[in-house]
Amino acid sequence: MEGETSSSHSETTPLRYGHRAGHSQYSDGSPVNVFHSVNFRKDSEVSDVDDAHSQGHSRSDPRVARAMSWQNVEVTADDRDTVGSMRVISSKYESLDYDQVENTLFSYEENLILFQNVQCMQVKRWFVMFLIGICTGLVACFINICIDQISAIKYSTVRHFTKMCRDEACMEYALLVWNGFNVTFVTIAAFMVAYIAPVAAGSGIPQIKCYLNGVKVPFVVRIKTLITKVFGVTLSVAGGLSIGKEGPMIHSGAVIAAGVSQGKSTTFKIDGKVFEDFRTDTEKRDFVSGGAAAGVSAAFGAPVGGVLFSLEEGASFWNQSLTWRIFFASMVSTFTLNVVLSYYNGDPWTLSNPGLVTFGKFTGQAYYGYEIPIFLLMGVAGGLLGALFNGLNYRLSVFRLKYVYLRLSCVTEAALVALVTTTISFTMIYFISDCHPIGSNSSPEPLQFFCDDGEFSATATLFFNTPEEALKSLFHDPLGAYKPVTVGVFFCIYFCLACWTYGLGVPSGLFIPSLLTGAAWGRLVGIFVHYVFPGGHFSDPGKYALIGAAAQLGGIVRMTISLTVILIEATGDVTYGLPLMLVLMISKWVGDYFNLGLYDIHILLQSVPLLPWEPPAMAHNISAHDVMSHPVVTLNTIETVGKIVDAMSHHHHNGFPVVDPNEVTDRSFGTYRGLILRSQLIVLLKKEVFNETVGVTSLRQRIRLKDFRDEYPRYPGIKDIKVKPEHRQYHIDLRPFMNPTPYTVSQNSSLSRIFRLFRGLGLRHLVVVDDHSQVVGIVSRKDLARYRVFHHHFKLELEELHISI
Amino acid sequence: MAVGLETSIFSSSATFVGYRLSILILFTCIHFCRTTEHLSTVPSHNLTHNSAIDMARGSDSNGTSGFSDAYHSLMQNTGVDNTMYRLNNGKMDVPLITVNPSSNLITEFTPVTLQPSTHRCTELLQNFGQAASKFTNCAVLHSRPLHFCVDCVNQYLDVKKTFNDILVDKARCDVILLRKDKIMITDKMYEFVVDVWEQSNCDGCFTIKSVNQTTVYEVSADMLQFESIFVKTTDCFFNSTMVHHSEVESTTSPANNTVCHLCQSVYRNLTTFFLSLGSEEEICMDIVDSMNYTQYLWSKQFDCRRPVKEPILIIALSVFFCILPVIFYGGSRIHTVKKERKLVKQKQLRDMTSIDRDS
Repeated sequence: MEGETSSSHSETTPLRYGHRAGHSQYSDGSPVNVFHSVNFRKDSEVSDVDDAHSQGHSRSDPRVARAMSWQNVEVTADDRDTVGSMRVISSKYESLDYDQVENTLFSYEENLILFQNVQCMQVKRWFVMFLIGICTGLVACFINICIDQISAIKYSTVRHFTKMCRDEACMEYALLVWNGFNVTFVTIAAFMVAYIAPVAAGSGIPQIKCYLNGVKVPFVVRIKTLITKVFGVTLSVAGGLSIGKEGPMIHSGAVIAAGVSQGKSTTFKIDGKVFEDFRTDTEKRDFVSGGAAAGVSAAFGAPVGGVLFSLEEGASFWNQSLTWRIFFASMVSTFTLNVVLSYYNGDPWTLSNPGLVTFGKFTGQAYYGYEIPIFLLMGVAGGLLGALFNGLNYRLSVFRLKYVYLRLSCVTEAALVALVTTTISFTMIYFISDCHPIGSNSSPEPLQFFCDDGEFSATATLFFNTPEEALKSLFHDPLGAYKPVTVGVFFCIYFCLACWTYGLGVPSGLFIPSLLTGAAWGRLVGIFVHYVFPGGHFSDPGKYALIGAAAQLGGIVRMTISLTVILIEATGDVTYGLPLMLVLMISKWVGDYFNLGLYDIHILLQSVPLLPWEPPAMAHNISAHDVMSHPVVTLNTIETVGKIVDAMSHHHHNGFPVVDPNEVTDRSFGTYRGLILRSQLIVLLKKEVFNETVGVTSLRQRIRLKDFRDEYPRYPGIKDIKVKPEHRQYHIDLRPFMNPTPYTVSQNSSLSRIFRLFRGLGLRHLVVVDDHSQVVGIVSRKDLARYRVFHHHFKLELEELHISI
Repeated sequence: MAVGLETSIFSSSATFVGYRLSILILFTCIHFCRTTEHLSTVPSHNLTHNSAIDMARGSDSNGTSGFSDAYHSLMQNTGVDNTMYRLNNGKMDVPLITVNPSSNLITEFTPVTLQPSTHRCTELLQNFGQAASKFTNCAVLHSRPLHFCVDCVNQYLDVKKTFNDILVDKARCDVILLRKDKIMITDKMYEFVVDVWEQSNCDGCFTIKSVNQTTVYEVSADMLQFESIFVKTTDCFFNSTMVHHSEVESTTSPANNTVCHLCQSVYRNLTTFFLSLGSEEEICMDIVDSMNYTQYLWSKQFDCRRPVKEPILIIALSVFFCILPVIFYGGSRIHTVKKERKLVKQKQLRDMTSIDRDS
């Protein structure tokens, strides 16, 4: 903790000045505690945020911030260990605007709306959900069919080599060919991610979670992200990495929803002139939650699970009619996938392929009641293993954030992982001989390798297969289909590979590798139980594999009801509901004792200001006065263009309180009249709606709500707006455009109260006023997200986080 | 309680013979209990039973009465016999149940004569039974080494034909023979035969033609060719092992080597031909099993296919590949500038107060 120096006092001048014009934020390295007086260091390198931003953009050698964001990041030689810390939130994430701006323009146009328009909107909403379902289903089919075809080519070529080299001692060719395929595929995928859309890396579930929480994650719902995601996941799954295609499917569904609902693509400069009413954050967010649900339902054939997923992980704002529409989208998506895949499989209209991954039909006795205690123990094991997985992956992710962030490094790393994955798989098949007669195998074309004629290698069934197929084999192959040592080795290797692979710069799902790891140790438990009680009645090891899979997945992602329902729907048998629920519950409890779920870890690592469901505990004594940002940049009701432009170029704020131009004191900034958004100001400047150029009467002809919507969602920056020098003296009357009745809080309100208001209404700005309606501060998402309660084992502490640029 | 049960069952099951049988069982049980416990109630009980049968008969509509008549007559004939399974010449085999000999229940049925259509049905049933038993016999005899597709095709066709006869018979024998009881033995028998045939992909051994509306099974060219190569292979095995068998009895390896050497080409031929036939799931089981047997002899018995393993190169490559990431991570750690972020201070009122206080 650095002491305050006398020089720091001299810095107060710009700060005070800053409430109107300039400097605002200081670099600070010291931990801040709420309950102590605040110490902060100000060295000579006081940095203005806006300057830092512009520097970052102009750097010739841009660097990649992994996964979440594509923004260029300032690199300093200063070692403060902020990268990889979960106790920092980043100021680069903006919020979405959920609050309806009820300005006079809006109320005028709303008077023109007829009953038919409202009905029409409703019908359009259903239609858009229908389209989202169809498109998501089709994309899922595309991914599935591509992976199927590419894998078929790959595996048949390698199979040919193993057959040929069996007698001629040239197995290294098989290894090299297999490696060649995998490394090429993965490298292409990694290239696409690194150079087109880094946000497409990973599963996409954390990003969607943030988006639905109200955080604008840059590039997350762009069309190029979708393209990268779809092709990237196809190639990386075909490239044999230990990943699944299900998480990316959820992200894809969300992007499709965002795209379809807007009826236009800014990237391709196409405007379909449809669904223009939906070009607001509020409407878009509803559709995105529908798209995420459709994605889940296409991935797992779990429409109900999809809806619950959106509810649990995403949609912070929820109502009954939206649920119904989301369910509709999910159903349409799974049905579309089903129909198309039925044609692909040559069995038109046999609707037995509801998802990308189905666990297949479990036959025979479901389980015996007395096995439930064993399942519970497996839940504990799943929680422990999940916590271990998350812990290891956390450390690895921190290392990656610190050292492996250049684009080329990311690509190289992905290629190396592919190389090692393939090599290890091959070595295992080579050295573990686990031969069984062909008749006992469920997969169509098993690999013989070094087994005798008429036999196949069980090791190859696990390693030389797509993860989905391996999973099905573990679930359904009879007792004795694998030697315990095969499954054990497979578990150890797959656990490490999955842990290593998640977080690479390729689109990668977490579900399948977790399930597969769990299925392996679950099957081991099953084999063990049968070995210990040879005469006892126990369900076959496949059922244990299912429970193990659930436990492992629950221990890693820590989802609850949606995961249970997804798994029940994927097994297609509600009988497994009870053990699955119990196991997921226990593994979550056990895992939560040690660390957070993996998605949450990755969200924290990206320093996203995510607001939890509930305000932090112990926050009632903190008042708005402590929380708010204080020097507020305000605008007068009638403001000169020059001042608006200056305020917007010097500050990156997105909302400016509009005040009456009266006495401004140290503490307050004038009587509060309303709030105007940056995006609105941009449009006003662009359209040159100045008092001097537009007569008051012709204002409504000059600008309409549509003009604001048309720029959505990518408003130009202030630098892109060319304001003529002579216009700087002109005035804009902000009153018709500002939101005259935004939410405000008194400066004495508690943090909890502000939090609930903020979270419940999905606000972006909350202006703090004193008793005389004078603006004294403003609360934004970051101010609230900074207060976070950390559970560490049984200790609970409230911390105030740092904010980084 | 007993009466309540009876009536409910009667009303719901009047048309099914199967149910009548079960009713009979029920009655017998109840009756038995009653006779042992309250002898006085027996007559009234019998009465109830008779009326039940009458009700059942009355509601029969489609020629089933013949069957139930036969059934009655049998009941009568069996009298106090312990077993009620009987073959009446030219009549039907009717499976019945064991009845307590002390019971006088049976004698109260009235004898009824059989109708002509029933004779015809019985004949069909006999034909089917014989065909099925012949097929079963044949299949079992040819199960090891498995070769029943080709050897039992006639029996299979017989089963199909006789069953089809029952189905298409004008007297609606199918209703009487196949649908009237719960067990449906005939149906199950037929299903079993078809199942065995289909699971073995036996149709794959034949080219099936339709001549004059009758299907003709001809052994397919593939099958014939496979058989010829297979015979060559087994001959080769036999000859070479026999030759050496006499000379070297205990040690097998030199003999095996000779087998391996001598028969390699013909074995390869067989394997390539087998693989050319397509996916194993579609090939006729006769072929698959012959192939499996040959493979077993070749790999396990003679130990001819010892794969050549040269693990050194594989190990070297693997180690090399696995070291690469270590180098990569080490290199990144040393050479990359560690990425850091600047922290910023959110401007806040309380900071200003503290600063004010300080100044």
